[in-house]
Formats: sequence, structure tokens, C-alpha cells
Amino acid sequence: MSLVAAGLSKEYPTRAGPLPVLRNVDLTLARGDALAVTGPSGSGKSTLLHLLGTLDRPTAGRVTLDGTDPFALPEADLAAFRNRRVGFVFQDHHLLPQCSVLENVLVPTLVSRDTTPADAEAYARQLLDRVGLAGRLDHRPAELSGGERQRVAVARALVLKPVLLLADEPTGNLDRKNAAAVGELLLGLHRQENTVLVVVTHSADLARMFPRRAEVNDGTLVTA
Amino acid sequence: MLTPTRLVLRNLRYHRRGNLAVLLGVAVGSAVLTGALLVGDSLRGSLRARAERQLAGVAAAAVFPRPVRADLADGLPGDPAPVLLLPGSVRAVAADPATAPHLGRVTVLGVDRRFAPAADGVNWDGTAKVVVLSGRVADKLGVGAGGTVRLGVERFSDIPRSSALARRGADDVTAAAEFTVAAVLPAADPKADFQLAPNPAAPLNVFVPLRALSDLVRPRDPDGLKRRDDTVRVNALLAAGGQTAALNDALRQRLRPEDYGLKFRDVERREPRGANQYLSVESDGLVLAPAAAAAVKAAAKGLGLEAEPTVVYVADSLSYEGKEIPYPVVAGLNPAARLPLGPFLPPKLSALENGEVVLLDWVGSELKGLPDRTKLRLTYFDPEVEGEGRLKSAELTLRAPDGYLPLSGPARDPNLTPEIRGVTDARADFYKLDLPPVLPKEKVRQRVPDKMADGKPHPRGTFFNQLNKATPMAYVNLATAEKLFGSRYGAVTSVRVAPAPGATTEQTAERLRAALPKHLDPEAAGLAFDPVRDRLLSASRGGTDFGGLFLGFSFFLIAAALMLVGLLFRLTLDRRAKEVGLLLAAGFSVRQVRRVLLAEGLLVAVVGALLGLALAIGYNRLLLAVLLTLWPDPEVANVLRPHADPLSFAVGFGLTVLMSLAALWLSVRGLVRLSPPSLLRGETESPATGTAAAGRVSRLLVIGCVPLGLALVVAGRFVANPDFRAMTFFAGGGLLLTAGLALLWRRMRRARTGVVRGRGPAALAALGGRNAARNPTRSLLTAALLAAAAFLLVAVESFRRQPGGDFGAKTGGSGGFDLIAETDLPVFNPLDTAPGRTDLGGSASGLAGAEVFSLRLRGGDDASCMNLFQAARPRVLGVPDALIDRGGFAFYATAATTPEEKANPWLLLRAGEPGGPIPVFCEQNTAQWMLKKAVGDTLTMLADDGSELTLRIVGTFADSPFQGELVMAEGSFARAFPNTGGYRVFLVRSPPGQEAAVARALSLGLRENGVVVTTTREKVAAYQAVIGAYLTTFQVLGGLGLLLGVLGLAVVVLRGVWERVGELALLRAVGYRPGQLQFLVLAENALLLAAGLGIGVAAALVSVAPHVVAGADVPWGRLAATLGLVLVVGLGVASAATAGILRVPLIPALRRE
Repeated sequence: MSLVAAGLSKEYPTRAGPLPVLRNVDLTLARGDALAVTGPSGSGKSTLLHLLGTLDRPTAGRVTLDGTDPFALPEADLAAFRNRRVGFVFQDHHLLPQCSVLENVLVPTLVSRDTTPADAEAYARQLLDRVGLAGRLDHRPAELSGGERQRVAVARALVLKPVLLLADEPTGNLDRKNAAAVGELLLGLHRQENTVLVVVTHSADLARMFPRRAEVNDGTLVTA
Repeated sequence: MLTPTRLVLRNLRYHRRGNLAVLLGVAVGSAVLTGALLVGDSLRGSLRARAERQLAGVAAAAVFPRPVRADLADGLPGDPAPVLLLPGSVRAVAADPATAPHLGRVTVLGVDRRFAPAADGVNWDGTAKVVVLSGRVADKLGVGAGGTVRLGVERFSDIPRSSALARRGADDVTAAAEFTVAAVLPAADPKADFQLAPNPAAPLNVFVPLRALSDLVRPRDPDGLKRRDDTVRVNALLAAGGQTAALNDALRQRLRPEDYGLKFRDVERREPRGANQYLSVESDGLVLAPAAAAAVKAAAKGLGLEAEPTVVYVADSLSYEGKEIPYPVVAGLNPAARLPLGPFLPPKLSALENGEVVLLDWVGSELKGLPDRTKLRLTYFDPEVEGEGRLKSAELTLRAPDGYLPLSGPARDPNLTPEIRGVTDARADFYKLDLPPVLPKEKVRQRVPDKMADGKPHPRGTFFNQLNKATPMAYVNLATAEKLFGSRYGAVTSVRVAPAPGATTEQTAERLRAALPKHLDPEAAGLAFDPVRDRLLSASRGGTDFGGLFLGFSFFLIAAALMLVGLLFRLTLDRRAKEVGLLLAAGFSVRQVRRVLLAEGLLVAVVGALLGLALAIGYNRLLLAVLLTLWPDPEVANVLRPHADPLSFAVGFGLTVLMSLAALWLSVRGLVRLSPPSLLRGETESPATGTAAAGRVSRLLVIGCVPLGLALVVAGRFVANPDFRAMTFFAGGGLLLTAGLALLWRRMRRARTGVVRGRGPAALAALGGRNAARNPTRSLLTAALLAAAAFLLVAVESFRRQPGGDFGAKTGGSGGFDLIAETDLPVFNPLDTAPGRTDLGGSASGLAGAEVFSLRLRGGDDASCMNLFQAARPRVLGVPDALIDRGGFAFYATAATTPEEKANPWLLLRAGEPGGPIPVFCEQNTAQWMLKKAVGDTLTMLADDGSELTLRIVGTFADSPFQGELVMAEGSFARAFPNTGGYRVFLVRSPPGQEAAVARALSLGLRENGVVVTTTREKVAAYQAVIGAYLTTFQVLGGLGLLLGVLGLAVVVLRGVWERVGELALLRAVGYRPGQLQFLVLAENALLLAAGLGIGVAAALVSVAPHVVAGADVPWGRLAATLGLVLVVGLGVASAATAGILRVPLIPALRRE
């Protein structure tokens, strides 16, 4: 049971011709593995994360998660796969301003068939309790600090108990203290939920917290 | 608990501002769409209400071609009212008749209590000369109760006015008398609006007691003859209820042969004794209609009786080598018939062949003693020609093997000639006859002097006055007589029936009366009820589908509203790109995201569409107000009222929601196609919009749409069906618009690849262009909004017409005629003839030097655009050969093929094949919009005998005064409508500078005929004012579309500026002055404005080019001014939008970036 990326490449079309961003990346992670991916801006870190999370399709290579190739699925099944198996945390928390904290966490459950609404809400409350926001369930994102918003985003990513938890610069907009807290939270929850965690970051401090680290340089993944 | 529904509701609330804008856009679309449908409802509803009102409770009406006894109404189901319904004129009685207010086109209704208007103190069953005026008539005449008016109406005639023997002097044709005004009907009284014809124009009604009017219009009594009877006669029965079929069944039962115009005359000759009686069945119209003659013959045959059709005709002369019998009466019959119906053969002759004649042997005949087979010359008046008459001649072979036919026995029978009061009766005097053109007094006295050189009267006069009266002097067989004297009315003047052996003529008449009804067809004779209410309600659906028309012209406005909806929704969505990205990242499928967004959109669309329904009511009122303000006939304003059909609301609502959803779906589709990472970065345009694939699509659009659009535009010129032609115009225009917008798209794409360099305004403008191309979808939608509106504006303006500069020329719209006159009562002598001028009395001198053509008119529904009702029975004009030969007038299209027809398309009117469709002309707009026909198409209408006529349109006039009618050759007219005699329309070309004098002369000379004289220019201008009213209304729609376009532009500008607040702040930080920034944004929007307007104008100009080439007078200056104004307003909006941004503090704006 693991995440396997084999020969992943990604090119973007431009007027000057195809622009390679990732070149022939191989990666295997098992449940419980946590990987921090670092690298300079524009090196392809986020692209790798988007490919692993099925937000984008590779130009070449394949990704399997627990033996399933999500890109072989039809569009609707691919969305369901992502909904069920993958959790995302972004640098910009992307909380819905019109929804409360609890509702934001529940957003992925709206299209899930794996849980009942009551179970989903109970788990969302539990997650919010675990991220320290039990008392802010009804607050709107605008009423939260940056760190709190990111914790809501973490809870949202985990609400459907995904196998793969992906975080793209989760601490990029946070101060050192909040960044550390979010890092610990991610790793703690990762351990508790036994997920595969991949974090893309510029932060050396955050990367150091991870047992495995890799660097993307000029489109190539190099294990540290 | 968050549920998808709650999420949708949360979204709606949170994005309420954006959604409100979308909602308002949908509301505008709904209002426009539903409002257009309501215009159709209003027209139909108003006309329906008008139809109900103007019928004043009448459901079925029988309008007879000849007067019938009033008591025919008694006992019919529903107690119909007998009414005398006559066109006429009325004038106030004043000291100077020349200046007294005068009204033509008045309807004079002779009514008894059964159809009397509410007026106190009038004995409607009496004979007092009192009149009740409608308020409209009273106002126009300036007369009130107690005043006196002079009514003029057409007098009944013993024989058809078109008959050569009919009296046609002005006093014979019209009856006029003074009446005291007993009351004035209030406007609220529906009888004031009573009319049977479908026409929203207000009628001018006056009501007179039936007996009084019946007395007035009774035929003039020949001098010295006593009036025969006091029977009250009517020409219409009006039934409030009852089924038409039941009414007609009951009417058929009550009809007597006399009601068909048949007369029974017992004839008893002086000799031979014992076999000298027969029954003569004649017509009160002098000539028996072929159907009536056939019916009498069939009825007689059914009774085992011998019957002989007989033709008697007064010829001009029968001559041989300088000798003549003046005014011989010629009989056509079976010369070998047995007693008492014959024989009419001289000794030793057993039969007459065609073209053979036998002469009566009478004292004083100049043709006495001619040998057998002598060729005689018969001259006679062409029975088809009215008025002055036209002499024809024929050669007849005399048969006299052993002398002439003696003046005895059956040949000594003046009763062979039908009874004509004052002509055939015992007291008639040859020297007192005055029946022009056949027997004009002066000419009669000249040719048949009462004192010849020897002091004795002329033998012809003596023969007449010595009890022989109209005894025929020459006999031919029936076939010869029918060939010579037959006309559109028939030929047979009587059917003589021999009584059965031992029976009297009275008994024979009784049996024949009883047997005749089953052989007579009341409907073919025009003696039937018409379901007038059903017909009017059907006509109230309108000559044109106004709902469809307004919907068609609102199409671009609706499209603009929908584009605005799409634009606003897309702008709202653009702000929510990250939210969409998140949902996708969270595992929502594209479909699920789309469903959430569309659910939101649907709710907004539903509320917006509902709001639009309320606005539609106001929009409908606005359109009607614009239309009525511009409509040339102010009376229509009293008819047209807002109406609303629930179905229109349902259709408007449903279509708006559906179309809005389509617009929203397109907006959502573009966004959800983006990858989640792009959305999460806030990107709203797919990189694919700038790729080669998108470029290929836009190029294909240009390559495909331009030739296809041009082909449709060109094809439209040759498409006959007007609906298809309209479709080619709109489809062609739409394709050209699409091509233009695709070109803009390509241009924007190219702009993104270039390098902005240089400095100053040019560089800033280039940067503005780049900015416009930054959100190509948004910019394209804005340009499309403006283009659609500009297209409508220019296209509509190009269709506006005014009488052109060549209008007055012979080949112009007027045909070279400056005046057109129409009378209510026919004139029987053409005004270009001496008798016609004589009829004008003292006014004739006013017509000196004027060229006048007299046209026949068969009344019917006004088919012009002035009539909002559907013209089911259009008016028909019969034009004389002289006008056909003259040619002229401007044609829009003709079926001319030969060089002669191309040179003079009027020749086409004579080109019909016998028995085939009758060729007709009509006005182009009438053909296209009212009749929905084009050149080559056929239409049907009923002939006078009830048979169906097929007419083929062989030409359409441009700028013509003949908008309300079909035009056919007089010959075709006479065959189709034999009962319509006289001339009612006059085309006049006045001598230079004499137009007013000629018009005054016509007005005075034909006053009693109810004449209305108009200049052809005014008449055409009135029609074009109606078209102008439509066009201006449609331009209002175009203006509203432009308003939406400018609104869209403002939204795009504001949105773009606020999105780029940081960028603009940065430019300020690097040293851009406020003016430069403003110029930058203005340049960006000026480009969009110019592109949108330019594309719309160019597409419209190409689309209307065929029309412009055909002679449309496009007001280019006004058009340029309107578009210039739009440009200025658009730039003003952009300036206002950018002014606000420059007030935003610099540092926060920079931080936002």
C-alpha cells in the first residue's frame, strides 16, 4: 500500500514550445511515510505535488496510489478518487469566506458517499478539537488569524481520512511560531491517521521536522 | 449542518452583489422578451376588444348585394335587426354650403327600434327626418342636438347603374336631404363605433329611422309616374345571436324568388286568341344572372313546362347601304318556339342559323323589301362598357325567303322586352326618353325627329308611340344574341314560360314560385349570413404577428441582455476562481462544481426572470406609448391598450430562465475547464484561449461566416417568402457579426504576442490594447454587446423611407399623379369623359388641363399597414386599359420577362391566361407584411358570385399610394366583380401649380359622393409614417441594447480597474501621472467601444446593402450622430470609472498587489 510515481514528467505548452518542468521523477512512499520536498522557486515542486494529488495530469509517467492509477479513471471517478484518497493543504488556505469554520471543514464531505453527514460532522468537530479550534466552530475565516485558518485547512484536508495528505507551502504565509505549530500538527495528524504525507516547502525548519527529505532541482527529484 | 443546498444559499448570500447584478441582467432579458410577447397580446387583445365593441352585440350579419324587404327579418331566429347600411356623406347646413363643414366616408344606418342607439325622443319606426350623430361626427361638423345636417347617400336603382339603360345623373345616383339632429351619441356608446369591417379606424356613424332612409333612397320616379310601393327595403340583417347555419337555414326558408331579384309578369297578347298568355320571369336588375336564368329554366322543366330564355337589347342602328333603323330593339330567342312562346319566323323559314336575322315588317321601316341573305350591319353598345359607351358592330344575314315577319301574333309583343319604368310602360313617350348613352335625348331627337320634312314624325318614333313600345324589330337566335349582347352580368333578359294546358298564368306563377327555391343558391346570390363576429375575432389576430415581429427585433436586445448576464456572471465567477479550484481540489467533480454554480445561477435567474415579468408590463406600456405617439392615426390610440396573456408570462419566464441558464452554463464551462492549480492561483482564462487551436477556431469562424453571411444577404434579395427573407437578413447579419467578433478575437490574440514599446500616448494606447486583450472573453462579450446593438440601430435606420426625390415622376412612387381621390358612392361616368365632367357641374372647369384616370374599386378590408386587423378580404382596384398602356409608377419587383413587360410592367396585368390566376399588383410592404406574399405567389378571394378567385401577384409597387388594395386590369375586375359598378378612385395629374385648385374642384364636384381628395405624397407619407413608427420603436429597442452594452462596458471597466488596483498603483509609484493612467484605461475601453460599434455597423451595412441599393434613403448624418453619442457616453462612463481608482491611497493599493 503506497504512493508510487514512476517516470513522471510534465511539460507546459508555451508559444516558444513545450516547457519541461519535471523530468522523469520516480518516487515511492509507503503508509506512514512523510516527505518534505524543497527546492528553489520554479523548480517544479508544486507541479510534482499537483501531479501526485491528481490536480494536474503528467505529460509522461504514471502515478499509483494503493495500486490505483487515478489518471486512468474517467473524470468523475478521478474527482471521487481525489475526494476520498487525497487531502490538500495550500499556502493560501482557500477557506470559503461565506462558510463557518466547521462548514469549511465539511466542504469535502458534501460530495462524499463514504460517510454520513452526521459522522462527517462528528469527525470534523473532533479534528477541529485536535487542531485547537473547538471553540471557534462558528467563526468565519475573516475572524481567524493566519495560523488558525491554516489549521482549519489542515482539518479540512483530513476530514475524509485520506491516504495521501499533500501540503503546498503550508507555512509560507505564517510566522515562525505558527509555522512550527502547523508543521507539528501536520506530522502529528499524519502519524495518527497513518497517511502518506508530502509537503512542499521553502522552509528549512519545516523540512527538518520530516524524516525524509528530497529536493527538486531543475525538474529532477533528488533524495537528500 | 452544511448541505449542498445550504452551500448554494450561502454562496448566494455572500456573493449577493455580483448575483444582484446578474439578477438585474436576467430581469432585463425577461422584461424585454416577455414585453415583446405582451405587445402581441396587447395588439390581439385590443383588436379583440375593439372587434367586440364595434360589433355592438352583432354576431352574424347578412349584407345583401341588392335591397330586400325589411320584413325578411321577421321570424328569423334571434330576431335580427333589418338595417339599411349605406356609405354616404354629411355636411352641416350653413349659409354658405361651400364653406360648411363636410364629412365623407360616413356610414348612414337606417335602423328601427331593434338596432336603434340609445337616444330619447326618436320614433325609430317613424318617417321623421331626424338623425342621431355619433359624437365623432358631431364634433367634426360642429353640430349638436337641434342642429340640421344634410345627408347624402347612394340612391337605389331600378336597374343596375352599370347598365347602359340606367340613369346615372348625379341626382339619379345620390339622394340627399336635410335632417334634424335629434341627439348626439356619447363616445361610450358602442354603436358610435359600429362597423362590420375589420378596421381600427374610427367609423363616422349616423343613425336615421329606417323608414325615413328607405324613403330617401327609393329609386327616382320617372316624371309623371306614380310610386309603386312603400315597401321598406334594407340591405343588411344584423343578428345578435344564433348559429349562422341555423340563421341561413331559416333565411333560405323565408326567401322568395323576388328576394333574388326575380319578377313574374303575366303577359297576355292581343293575339292570337286562345294561345296568347305566358309568364315572363324577369330580373329587377334588367339582366337575369346566369344562375337565376338556369334556375328558372330548371324549375320550369321540373314542372313539365316549356320555357324559353329571351334576350332583348336596344341597339344603336341596323343598316344597309345608308338606310337604317335607328335604335332597333333586337330579340334573341328560339325563333321556332311554339305558341304562346313563338314562333318568330317569316314565311318559308323553319329555323335561324347563327348570325342570321329576320326583320319585322312594320310601317315606315327603312329596310323594307330587302332580298333574302342581304348582309345587314348592326351597331350596338358594348354591354361591358359603362358610361359613355363604346359602339361595336356585327354583320347579320337577313333571312327573308318570302318576305318579312309580320307584325302580328307572337311578333306583335312589346312584352318581350322586360319592364323598365318610364321606358316600356304604356305612357312612355319615345321623344321623352333620355337614357344616355344609348338614348340620349338630344341625339334621339336628332336621329328620330318628331317632325320630319313632311311634318310627320319619324316612323321609328311612331312605331314606339303607337302601342308597339319596345316591340323587337329584329330577331336572331339565342346563341347569336348571347354572343353579341352577353356581358359579365349575363345576357338573358327574361325566361318566358308557357302555362300548362288549361292552367292560368297566375297558377303557373304560383307553381314556379314554389318550385324555384330549391334551384336557387342563396349563398351564391349573396343572400346569406356571415359569422361576422368570428371573422372579426379571427382578423383581430392582426395583419402581422406583432409578438413575433417585436420578438424578432428584440432578438438582439435579448441577446445583449443575455450576454450581459453571461458577462456579469462570469465576472462574479472570476472572483471565485480560487473557490472553484478548492472545490475541485477537495474532490468535487467538474460536474458537481458546475451543478453548484448553476444551482446558484438558476435561483438568480428564476428571481430575475420573475422580476422581469413585472418590468415587462412597464416595457410593454413603453413600447405601446412609443408606437402610439408615432402612429399617424390618433384614433388608434383609443383602440390599442395594454393586454397580457398569462401564457406570454409563462413563455417569457420559461425562455428567459432557459436562455439565462445557457448563458450561465457557457460562463461556468469556461471556468471549470481550467485546472485546479490555475484556479487556485486565481487564473480565470485558460491558456488555451491563446493557443493555436483557439486561433484555428477563430480563423475558421471568419472563413466560414463571411462567405455564408454574404451569400445569405445576397440570397435574401431573391427569396420570395418574406419570412424566409427576414430570416436571411437576420441570419446573414448574425454570421457577419460573428465573423467580425472572431476577427476581433484574433486581433486581441495577436496583440498579446507583440511588444509594447515607445512612449507617449501611442505607447499608452498600445498598452491599453494589450490590457483589453488581457481578458479576451470579457472584452469579446463587451464588444459583442455593443456590436449587436449597433447592428440593430443601423439596420433599422436603413429601412426607413421617405417619398424619394423622384416620387413625383412618372416612374416614381406616385406614377406622376399628384392627387388621388376616393368616393364612397361610385361615379358612373369616368371623369375624363364629357358626361363625367358634366356630372361635376360647376366644378368641372377646375379640372381643365388635368389628366384623370377613373378606377373601379371593390370595397373590402384595408390591406395597408394602417389597418392593424388582418385583411381577409382586401380591397381591389380595377385599372382602365388607358392606364395600363400609359405605364409608370415605381416597382419593387415584377414578374416581367419580355422587353415590353420590363419597359412597362403594367402589361403583366393583361397577361393572365383564361381561367388561370388573375394577375394583380400590390404594394411591397402590403405583400410582405400584411399578405405574407411575394411576386409569383397566389392568393384567393371570393368573386361576386361566391366562387373562389385565384390571384397571382405579378408585381409589387414601391412607395405607392396603392398600399391598401390589390390592383388588377379592369377586364379582370369586371369578370370577377360584375356587381361592382362605377368608379370610386381617381388618379389625377394636375397642371403645374394647379394642384390645390384641382383638389378643390374635385372636393366640391364630388361632394355628394363623399369624396376624399389627398395628395399622393401625403398618402404615401402617411403609410411611411406607420413604417417609421415601427422602425423608431425598434430603434428604441436598439437604443436599449446600446444602453446595456454601455452598462456592460462600465461593469467591465470598473471590474478591470479594481482588479488592477495594485498594478495601477504600481504605475503611479513608478511615475505615471493620473492623466496618463486615465488615458491608459480610456484607450483600452475606446478600443472595445470602437471595435464593438465598428463590427456592428459594418455587419449591418453589408446586410442592408441590397435594400440600400434598391433605393432606401438612409439618414447617414443622424446615424453617425447617434453612434458618435454612444461613443462619447461610453468614454464618459470609462472616465468616471477610472476617476474613482485614482483616489485610492497608493500604499494600501500597492500592498494589495
